[in-house]
Amino acid sequence: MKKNKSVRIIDNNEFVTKRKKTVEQILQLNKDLENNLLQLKISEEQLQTIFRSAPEAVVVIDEEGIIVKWNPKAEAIFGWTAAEVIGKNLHEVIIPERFREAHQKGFKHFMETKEGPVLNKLRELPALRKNNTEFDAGISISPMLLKSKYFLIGFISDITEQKLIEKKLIEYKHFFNHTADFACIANMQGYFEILNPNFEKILGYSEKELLKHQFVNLVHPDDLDSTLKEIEKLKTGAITLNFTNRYRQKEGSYLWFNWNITPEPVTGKLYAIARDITGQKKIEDALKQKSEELVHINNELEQFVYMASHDLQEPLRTISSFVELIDEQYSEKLDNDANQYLQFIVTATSKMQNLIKDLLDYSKVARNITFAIVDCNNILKEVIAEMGASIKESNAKITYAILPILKGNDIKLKQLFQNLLSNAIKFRKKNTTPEIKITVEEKDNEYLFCIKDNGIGIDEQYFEKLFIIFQRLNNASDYPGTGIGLATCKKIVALHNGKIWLKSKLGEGSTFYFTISKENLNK
Amino acid sequence: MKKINCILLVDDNYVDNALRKIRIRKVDICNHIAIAIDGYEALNYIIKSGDPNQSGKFPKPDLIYLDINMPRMNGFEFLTEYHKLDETLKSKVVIIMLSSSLDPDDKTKAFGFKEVTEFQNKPLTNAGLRKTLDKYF
Repeated sequence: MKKNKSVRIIDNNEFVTKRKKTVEQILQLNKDLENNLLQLKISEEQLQTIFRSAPEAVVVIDEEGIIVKWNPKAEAIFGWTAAEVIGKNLHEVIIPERFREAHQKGFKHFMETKEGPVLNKLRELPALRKNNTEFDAGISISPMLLKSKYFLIGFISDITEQKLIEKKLIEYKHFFNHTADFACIANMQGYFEILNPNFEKILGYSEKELLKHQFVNLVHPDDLDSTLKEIEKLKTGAITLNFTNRYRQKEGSYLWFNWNITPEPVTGKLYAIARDITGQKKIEDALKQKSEELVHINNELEQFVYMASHDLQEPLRTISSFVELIDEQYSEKLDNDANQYLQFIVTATSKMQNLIKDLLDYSKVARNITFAIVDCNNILKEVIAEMGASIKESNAKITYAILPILKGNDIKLKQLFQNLLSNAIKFRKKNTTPEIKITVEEKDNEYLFCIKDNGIGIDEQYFEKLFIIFQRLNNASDYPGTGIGLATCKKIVALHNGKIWLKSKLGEGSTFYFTISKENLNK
Repeated sequence: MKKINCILLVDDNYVDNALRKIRIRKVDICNHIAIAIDGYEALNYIIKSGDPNQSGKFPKPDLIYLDINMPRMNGFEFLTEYHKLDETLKSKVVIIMLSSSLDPDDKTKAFGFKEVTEFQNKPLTNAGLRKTLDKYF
């Protein structure tokens, strides 16, 4: 008021003017202040909103490490409410016990130097929840100087899930990088995008070289068409399974790849796995070649047996013819010894003729074979008719079921029935009427024939041996034979994609089984 | 007993021919037995049998026993050439192919020629000869 008194001395008018101005200034200042306050309020509210609804936990601590701010997301992540933690030391609240010492040391270091590894960077650290469980936290810390005091603002997020995904990705990457196969992602424009190390390691190109060119450039020219076709198929969304082609190695040789590819039509990406089957292919090729050789050798052998037995017939026939002539013309002039010798020659030549005939039959099984629809009933009737003499002589009783009509070779099937029936009669028990029963059973893919006799039977130890050529189990005087018949049967059955076997007990008869496949259609 | 005029044996095997000759003589079914050692000789014989200048020297065969495998001209090659001959040379001739095997292929091939009457397996027997004679003459 002292001042006012002195002012009063001055011109009243001037005073009024000045005062008015001052009042205006004050009013203006007030207005500015109010404005500023409003701005501040808006600013404060904005900050509060950010603080409240931030997607990360926002935690502010002071120089002592005491929590001063704790946003709702922090409440959600850690389980502590703001009221519970404000005023507490941070490291007691969220730092797992084993890291507390290190944390305090780091905090001290920061306060002294204003430097630290965690500032303004995203770091991953384990953090503690209210319920004492730990989780992976992503933390970034920013310092803030306020009225010469330091505050630290921490932004914290729960990255548990992210870490899990990363872990899985790393695991998958292990598979990708360490599989023995070739794994890659490519696109439908024909370029590789991501390759596992096998491409570099085994094909010999650098990754850069592989990514630069279209992959079809590496495909063997002979496999190019099929490869392009396969890519077209992939474009329609079809999966590639076991597609094989050859890839050129840098040094020039080719590897056989077996591809399994899944396309992703939306992104146009191809997820592909290739297996190097070069070794397998080589083995397959060698096997194929060997089996072709074998077929060839086998054919030659069969041809040889055929020719040999055919040519053997000629001189034998001459011998037997002349023996016959001598017998006709001179038997009365010869003594008993000479006549007996002639008889031995006749027996031996006829035995050899049978042998050669059977050998010829055997070698002819696979020659000039054609398959047609065959009625087994007719075949059996013909066989029985042709065997009339031996059936009558042995008094054999043959019964049979209705047999199927199937696809096969009639001549060979006839031979098969003939061999099995004549065996059943030949190996009959003395003083027993031979009874032979033929039955058949239709299965899904084949017919199972069964020829049962009441003959002398066969010891089990000979079951396998029986079907081997020239194997004879009985002495020739009681049961003459060449040892070729069942080998021929086995060959005939095999020709019809079937099997032959038997069940028998010595002295109790035998049952021969054989199957004829229903799938002989493409012969 | 029926008898025919001439049988022609076509075989490269000398012993077989001799044997057949004995057999035929024994059964006594023909007046002449001619022998040709391959298809070529057989063909020549047949052509000469139709030549009036050679009359008598080469009686026309009524029955031909034909082997398959022979050098120079085999049985099938003979049949091909025979097929081209004048019908008068071939009329009423019975041709029997003799085979040492039951190869169905040979049989099928043989019946591809209309001149082939029958397909028989070796050897020639007395009974076989009589049967043939009864059947065709």
